[in-house]
Amino acid sequence: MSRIEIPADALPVERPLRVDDRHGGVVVVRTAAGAICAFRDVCPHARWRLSLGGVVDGHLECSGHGMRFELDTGRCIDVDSYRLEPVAVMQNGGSITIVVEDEVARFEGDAP
Amino acid sequence: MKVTYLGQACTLVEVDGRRILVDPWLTEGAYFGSWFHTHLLSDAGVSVEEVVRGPIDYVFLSHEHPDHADPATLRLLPKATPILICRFPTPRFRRHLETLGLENVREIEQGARLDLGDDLTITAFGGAEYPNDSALLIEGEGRRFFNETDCKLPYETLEEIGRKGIDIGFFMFSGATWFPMMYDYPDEERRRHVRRRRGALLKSFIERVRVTRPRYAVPSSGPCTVLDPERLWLNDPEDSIFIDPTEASAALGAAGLAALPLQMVAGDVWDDSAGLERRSPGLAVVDRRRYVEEAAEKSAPIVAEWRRRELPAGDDLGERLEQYFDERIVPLSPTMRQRIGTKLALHVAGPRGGDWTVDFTAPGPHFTRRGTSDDWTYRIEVEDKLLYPFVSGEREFLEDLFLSLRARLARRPDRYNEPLYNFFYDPDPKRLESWYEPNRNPC
Repeated sequence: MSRIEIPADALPVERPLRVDDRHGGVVVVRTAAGAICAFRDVCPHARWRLSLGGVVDGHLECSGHGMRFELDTGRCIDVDSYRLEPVAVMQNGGSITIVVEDEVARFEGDAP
Repeated sequence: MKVTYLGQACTLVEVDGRRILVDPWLTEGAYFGSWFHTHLLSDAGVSVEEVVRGPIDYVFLSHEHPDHADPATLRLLPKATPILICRFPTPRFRRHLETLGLENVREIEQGARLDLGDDLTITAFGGAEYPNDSALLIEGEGRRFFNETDCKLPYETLEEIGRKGIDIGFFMFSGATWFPMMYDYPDEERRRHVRRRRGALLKSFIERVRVTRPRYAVPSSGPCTVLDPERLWLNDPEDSIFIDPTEASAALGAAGLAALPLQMVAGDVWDDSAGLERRSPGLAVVDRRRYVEEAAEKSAPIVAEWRRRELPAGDDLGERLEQYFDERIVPLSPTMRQRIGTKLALHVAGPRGGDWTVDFTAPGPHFTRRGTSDDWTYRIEVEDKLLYPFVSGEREFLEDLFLSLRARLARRPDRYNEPLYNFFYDPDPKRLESWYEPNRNPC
């Protein structure tokens, strides 16, 4: 298990950020209410990178085909059987820590 | 390389001395007379007889929908024509083509590059969803042609294609399904769904072009034009997800990508050295609303004649309906039935009509009964003469009934029931179980 630290101010409100790791990457989102959530950066529908999408009406919307996910649960509001895989994340002062089950993980600055 | 666009997803690719025809739908009135081409083939000067006269070296068919694998067109091909299809989880598509008399159907493994000799290769990619679907990459003469057809490819497949880029790509941009138009929503709610879907479809189109990096991106595989006088509203941009291709081109142009939008209408030819030759310049710029009005007026007698000729349902519809659904539900596991979890109220109009309930939650051994109750979770209203060909076994693909846009639906709660849709598409119990097995994690 390893931790990726990113500066808290690298994560604007409701703009998904991608963090690379060896398991396909993580998407991190700060909600309008200030909570931070993180999931595997892959849409269960057709494996699009969720980090290429955006937050619309409080839902993470995949830019591939428009699937929408609740940020607190990862549940898809369009298809019941789709659910995002959560990744542990926490904010501590000026830093956000993502906990991944990986030997090597890195943060690559700005999301695409 | 030369590509002739023949409407919808149909392209004739001439490369390395070979002619490959993709997804030929060269007649009008697919899905019980409901779908016509974006522009009528007769207006575009495209003749099915001329196209099938060929010569054609290969035909690639992406999936069984009749606006891609049109039985009327396919029956005109020489029976020995090599037909290439993707290998899908079940042989139903291949068998369907064989019933049309095609004797030379060859399945290609998904993602495998098939060498056709002299540096010409084709690759068929399978889709990410349950239904059969596939996209095609043709490489020859140092050029790469891509036709997405209707296929929703996994991201990594598109990314891989984009690594080398594409010279010309044909991409879906319009909706091609019955949601939300045929659902029982109040007008403003339906329009809200329409707006959201149209926005998502155009966004998706742009994203797929961005990832695959074509030099030229052709909006294709839609929209259909509905010319039934009672359903002309299905062409209205406020009421339907069938998008005008000029809107897609404009959206792509505004996205600031390197790819150039290339508007093609049926009959147009793109040549990698000579560029685009327009065969019907007026059609590319005609106002869509006006075009639909004129096409509807001239097609009205044809549509009326087709309706008149529709065969009535047999007087054994009820018995066949009950048998049809029970035969398909009984082999499902209790878990699968629970996953579908639907109590379907079927209201069948017409002289042989009636009301039935198809209840996936019933304990069995029967799941279909006469009558309906207020606790339905899904409701379908359809004419007896449209349902009968399916329950009698004459037509195989039940989804075609919904794609005809002649059935009305409602659902409670108002959520997409994917397992039910997949059941309607292909109720093969092994296929369904495999799709929903717990460890089938696309990640």
